[in-house]
Amino acid sequence: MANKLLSTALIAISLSSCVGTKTLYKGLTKEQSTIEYLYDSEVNSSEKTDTIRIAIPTISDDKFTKSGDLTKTKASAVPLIIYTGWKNEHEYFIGDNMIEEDIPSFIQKSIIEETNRSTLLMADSTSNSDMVLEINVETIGAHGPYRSQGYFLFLMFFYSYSFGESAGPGTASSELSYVLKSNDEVLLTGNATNQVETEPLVNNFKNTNELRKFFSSNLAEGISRTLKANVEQITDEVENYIANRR
Amino acid sequence: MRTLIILTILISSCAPSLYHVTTDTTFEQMENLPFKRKLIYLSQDIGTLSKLDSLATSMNKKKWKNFDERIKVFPEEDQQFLRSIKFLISDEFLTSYNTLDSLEDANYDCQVGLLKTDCMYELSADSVDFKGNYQNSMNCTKSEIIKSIINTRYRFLRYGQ
Repeated sequence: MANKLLSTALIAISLSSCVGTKTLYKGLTKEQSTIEYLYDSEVNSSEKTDTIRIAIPTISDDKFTKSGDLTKTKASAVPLIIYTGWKNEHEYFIGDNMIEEDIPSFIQKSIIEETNRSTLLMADSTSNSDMVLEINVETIGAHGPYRSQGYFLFLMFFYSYSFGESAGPGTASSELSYVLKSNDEVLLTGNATNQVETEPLVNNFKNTNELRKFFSSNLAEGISRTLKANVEQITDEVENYIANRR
Repeated sequence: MRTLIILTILISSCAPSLYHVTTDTTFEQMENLPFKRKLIYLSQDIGTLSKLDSLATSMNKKKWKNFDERIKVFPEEDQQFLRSIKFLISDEFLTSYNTLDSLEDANYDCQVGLLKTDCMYELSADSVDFKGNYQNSMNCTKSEIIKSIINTRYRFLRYGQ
């Protein structure tokens, strides 16, 4: 009976310790996450003075792939008879397929909303305004480490084991460049860059599936935070430029 | 088997509520915890910090007899607001909503609207536009503390944690 229990435990531990890259990738990419956020800038309810068209942004970052990437960065094991220990580390890069929204449309919508909310400009995507804001996503992405580790110690009359997974902290960043034009004449150009660190995820998860799912949303949230900061910066700079011309 | 059931009931009844009452003394510490809670903020517009701190402790520890005694010194409207938080923490969401209903939406740094949204969320009111409600509360408040609290609520809505 004791032997059966021990071998079952050993099999269970070995299975959970040998999380393959494919299985882990499947767990991390099970569900898409939204990058929507709440607007918290001050509402400017004064009458609008100018109109501006926000063109659909382009993305020139070819490192931000559709399916993301998961690479094993560290792997170690101590396979002794009385002691077995292992440690694996993967680096996960979130892909476009994990984001619920279409990124260019999302940025366009966010710039329009932020402009209409906090500035004296009236923005939309279809007007015939002479003034056009063009945006390019230079870089965008988020990545972070995912670790699994454990050990099994077997002595004659006693055994002990432990295994677990943890993730993060991850890094998310985005860089948007913009050109403000009036009748094809360039009025203003600029860049907005932002980077944030996501929190480490260790305990408090019911199971590894939940941890993997949350790690992925955590990275998506990081992207959302950087885009929010960049959208606010661009809106602010464009508003200041136009205000100085008035 | 019976012991196991009793143990499970005991553990779940002692589990801390997802909602946590904060004051100026505890807000920053709670806000920076790696695992977020749904915070409720008692500003010093309601009372002195020492009174609020002990009140928040009673609420977080669910010492409701103590709480009922302590709130007697507050004006009626504040008592009503504090009672609505008690009901929310005690999972009496409909009572909490009804208690909040007669308070002005913009009162308590716009937390009346926020807490009503919490009640509807807990009651799984499917037809409610939660994002829209959180955005309304965000537009309503001037307090940076409340803005941060609303952002965390929206995080729960988006990602579940």
